[in-house]
Amino acid sequence: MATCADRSANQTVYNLYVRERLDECLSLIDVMESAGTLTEYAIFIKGLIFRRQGKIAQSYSLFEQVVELNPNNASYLKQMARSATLLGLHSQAIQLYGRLEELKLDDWESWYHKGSCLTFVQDYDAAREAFLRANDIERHLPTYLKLGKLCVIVEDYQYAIKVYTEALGFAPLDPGLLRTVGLLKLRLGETQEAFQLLGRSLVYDKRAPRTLLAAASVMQDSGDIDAALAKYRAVAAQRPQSAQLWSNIGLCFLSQDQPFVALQCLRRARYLAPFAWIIAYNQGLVHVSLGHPLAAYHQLRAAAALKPDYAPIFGLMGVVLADLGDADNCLAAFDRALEFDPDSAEIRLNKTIALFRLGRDSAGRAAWAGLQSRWGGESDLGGSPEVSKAAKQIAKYISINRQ
Amino acid sequence: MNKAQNGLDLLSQAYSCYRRHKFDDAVEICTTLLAKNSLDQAAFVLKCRAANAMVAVDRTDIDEEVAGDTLLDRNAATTTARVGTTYRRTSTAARPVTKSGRPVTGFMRPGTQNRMASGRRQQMKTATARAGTARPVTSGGRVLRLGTASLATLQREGQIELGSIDPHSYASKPYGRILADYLIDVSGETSRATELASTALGLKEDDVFWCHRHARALYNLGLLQEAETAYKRVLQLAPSVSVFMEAARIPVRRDQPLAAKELYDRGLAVFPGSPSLILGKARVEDTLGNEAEAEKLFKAVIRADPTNLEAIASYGANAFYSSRYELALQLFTRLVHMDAAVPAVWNNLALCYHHICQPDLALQALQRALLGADSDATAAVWYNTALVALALGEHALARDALHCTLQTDPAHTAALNCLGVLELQQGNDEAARQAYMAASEGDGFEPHLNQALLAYKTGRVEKAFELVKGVLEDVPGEEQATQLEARIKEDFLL
Repeated sequence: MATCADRSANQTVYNLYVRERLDECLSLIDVMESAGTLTEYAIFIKGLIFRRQGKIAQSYSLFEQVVELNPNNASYLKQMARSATLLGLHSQAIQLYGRLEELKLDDWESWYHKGSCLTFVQDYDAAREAFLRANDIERHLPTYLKLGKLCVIVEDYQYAIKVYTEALGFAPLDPGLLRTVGLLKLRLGETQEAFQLLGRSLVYDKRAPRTLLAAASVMQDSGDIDAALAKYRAVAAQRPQSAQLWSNIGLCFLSQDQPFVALQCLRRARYLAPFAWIIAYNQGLVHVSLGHPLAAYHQLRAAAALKPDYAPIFGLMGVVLADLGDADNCLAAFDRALEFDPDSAEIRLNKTIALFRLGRDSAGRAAWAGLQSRWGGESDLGGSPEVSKAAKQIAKYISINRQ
Repeated sequence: MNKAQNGLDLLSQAYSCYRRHKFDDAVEICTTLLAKNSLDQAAFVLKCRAANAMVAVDRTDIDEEVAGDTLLDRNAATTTARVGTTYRRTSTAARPVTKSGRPVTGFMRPGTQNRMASGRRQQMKTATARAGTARPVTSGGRVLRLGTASLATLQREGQIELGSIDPHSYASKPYGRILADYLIDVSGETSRATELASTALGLKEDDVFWCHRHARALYNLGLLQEAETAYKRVLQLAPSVSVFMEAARIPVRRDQPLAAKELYDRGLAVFPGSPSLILGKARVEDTLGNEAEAEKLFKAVIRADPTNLEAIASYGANAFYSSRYELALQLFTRLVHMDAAVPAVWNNLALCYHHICQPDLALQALQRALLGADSDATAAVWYNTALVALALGEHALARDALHCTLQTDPAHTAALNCLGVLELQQGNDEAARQAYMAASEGDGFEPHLNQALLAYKTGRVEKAFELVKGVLEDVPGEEQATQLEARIKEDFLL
């Protein structure tokens, strides 16, 4: 039962806390403790301050104390659960949130944090339920973001898009949200929409490195190398240790016909991220364009070890092995590539070329005939101008040899 | 061996042994002679000369500073020298260094084996971790060690009774000079040598030999101030390359690299193009971290003396660290052709091959490196094997190589860290955490940062915060750590 004196002391503690005069507040609580007039509320505030200072374990034990004193106070339980979450005691926190439910405390924060805990213990369905409950009570951006992230984890992209679209209706100007949605769309291949979203995000946060990087990579894909490089420069000033950045810069230089510079950039990227298969693949690409088949082969092998189901790696490996004159492995590589991507005209065409180069003309002719029957006519093989140009050359070669 | 056998008397036999570089035999015969007649001056002189020749060392090469001397150093003028004027650099070097704080070139340069490292953790390591050498060796360094070692053998066979010799009576005689060298190089009685030299200088003031030996003895006694004055006088009387090299040891030992450079420059003004002097200057520049300047000098040394191993190895290392791998490859290959291929050189060659994307050759070179490597080098070679394997995408081989590294050096921080990363890649979070924990006993912030990232990933936010704070204390402004800290702070506020 709080006395009058307690109440005024609590009031002072509260006033100091909400005015962010945390040091004064802490020393007042210490004075109260040594005078023997420590109140439940003061301990609670001390716990909150400790948590803000990063002393989570201490704050947890303080909250434990107040919960013992007053087991039915929902806000004490809520803060204890929060500290447990930050300590990584996820299942304990989930239990505490369960008790909160029994106390009929229905606020969005506890559902939100419960959802995060459930995500950590990989109970994804329950986590989704928790986030949805949180949004039913009160809509908040962090809930949408976590829910969207959860959907991406369980690879339910359509639902993720739905969640994000709803979030965009709720907070249309948030640069972080715009970027997240943009990146997801980029991943799903909706480049145009993604680029628009990223552009909108950049309007509100001009220097955000991740957004800039994504936007620049879209520009790079559409062939606007100079603009992309300008954006990359802005990113490099802020994040010089980003492997994706250096990998992309490397490919920019490759398309500007500066393979040695490209190689340096990629080497740096690889150093920063040794397990990124795409960098190894890019290195292989540069080595192919430089005419270093052996070096390219080593890089491609590394890429294949890291990403064993990506057709272009094996397709390129086949080309390189043809350069090295290893017929059996070359054909095995092409077969592997076609296993993952049977409809690729490029890989089939490369295989045909490789067969001719290895001197297996009859097999090459058969492959060419297969190609033609599959696509019915040499000109519209895949649509890409390079492919159709190569196809024409092969057709010419075959017709000359027949004569 | 007796007189009848060779038809020679014992002294001639001893002289013949001496001339055929059989110094042990010469000393032995002289000892027999001296046992018969302890006043036999010919035997005495020959024995001294043979003993001197046995321990003959390259004067320009003995500038080792031992831990005991560093601890008891009273010559230091200031404890916080300005950047660029001291060998003790506070910045963390980007290059890998030997345990004594020098970039690895494959050439163990004199005077670099014992310099105290500047890092906080490394200092602790010298104090505690290496139990076998916990007591620092004091005074004299290799000079004394050589002396004591040979003294023990000589005494066993009947040492010259130095107690019975009055140095003063030798000061005026020609073979007093031989005795002086004996006292400095072999028996290690440096104070006696000083006495002898100063007596001789009292008789003839401007004698170059005695001036020189006086300076040398003073230096060995650690009286740097007096030695400097004495060397100055020698250089006035008769400048020579070796004296310049010897004199330059004083500023080096006093941690005055700029003064050392000046001395080398003065030497180069008298003896332009002397490879030893240029090399000395290059060493100073290299240790100071002026790589561009050092490289020019190393090139100059190679031009003057194309077979200088140290210059080639150092130039190679410089080229390697400035990403000119093809050049480094040429230089290290040259070392191999010159038959100077110690394991470290093969190791460096392998790294060059690795960087120019020839991993097959790199693995071959690493195999060669393993053949002759000692335990430290073995660990390094296996670690590099792991790096090459990683670049090839051979994760199983990389893991095996890392385990081999840890077998030879269980506290190899980088290997433990790398193993943690590999385990994480396989999804073994717990194994990764343990590897990081073990790695964080050693130097470097990476294991701590990796631990923080892992803790954050698994939801142990407090642990992550603690670790990331530690990292930012060590390396303020580290990119990933700063980002992680900001994210955690957001979490705390919510």
